[in-house]
Amino acid sequence: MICERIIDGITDLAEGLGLISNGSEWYLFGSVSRCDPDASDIDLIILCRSDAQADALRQAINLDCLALPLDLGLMTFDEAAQVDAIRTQGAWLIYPRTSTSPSYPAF
Amino acid sequence: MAGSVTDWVAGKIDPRENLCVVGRTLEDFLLVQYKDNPPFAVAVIGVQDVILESHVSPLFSHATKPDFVVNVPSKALWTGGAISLIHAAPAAFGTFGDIGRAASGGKVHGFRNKNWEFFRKAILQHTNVMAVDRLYDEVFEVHRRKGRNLKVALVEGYHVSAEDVRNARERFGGFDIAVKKTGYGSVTQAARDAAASMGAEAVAFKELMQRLAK
Repeated sequence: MICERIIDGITDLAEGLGLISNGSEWYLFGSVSRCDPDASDIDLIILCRSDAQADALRQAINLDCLALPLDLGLMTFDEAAQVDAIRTQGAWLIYPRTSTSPSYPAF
Repeated sequence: MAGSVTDWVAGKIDPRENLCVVGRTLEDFLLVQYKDNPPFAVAVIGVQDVILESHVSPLFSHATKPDFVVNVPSKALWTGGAISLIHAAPAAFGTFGDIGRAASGGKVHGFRNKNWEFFRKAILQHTNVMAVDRLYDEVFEVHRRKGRNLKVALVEGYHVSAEDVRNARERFGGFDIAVKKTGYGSVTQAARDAAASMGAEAVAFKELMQRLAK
């Protein structure tokens, strides 16, 4: 499935960035996370430790590096908490992988 | 260069998603088929930053006209002149991810980003607005009856963050108002503070309509 390949691509991207992504959390939401066959982009939100990390990740990430263009949002953990961003967007943690996380969301 | 970006987009089109490249025209446009529909022509250009009318006009000077124009990278800005020329052809434009969306909608050349059209029409219908010029795909210059012109930038994000605002300034080179594109979510306080530090505002749609009156 294309969504599985995309998730693998995103986690590879995050891991490949090394220190730049250190401490950040990457969440998928939107049409790709639902495996919508008509998805036209990948909705990704990255929570960052600081403004500087957010700016560095924006510079480092090529929005066209995956099967579909990345629609990338970056915000600090504080901002995300303020607006309850992860819950309200129905976003799903894909990086870092945790031992308790499933490999893929239950579509 | 043109060949390489065309090859790159051809490689992104996944037959498992009901899209298939079935050939190329003499102009090196991709012939793309969606399910059993007739193929349509996709022109690919490789402008790095700002797409001008002069970048797209040669595409329409051949016997075969493209139905859809894609630029790589997708983050490049489309100027109002380039957009007008493409739409007048008639044709459509977007990212390589939009090819499938345009194809599944039926008339490929009629594909339009619904968000952009919504904002353009809503701003134009405001009682204090005389005209709206499109500077870029996501930036409008608003001519008001009372008050100075305002440069309005559409900003991605369910919840618009401070980084979204900084990124908009980096991409668009300044604006008066950054407005959240989606009807849901919110604008964070940090985003509002970041905009204020630039002498601008970060707002939601309803606030934009109120601001246009002032």
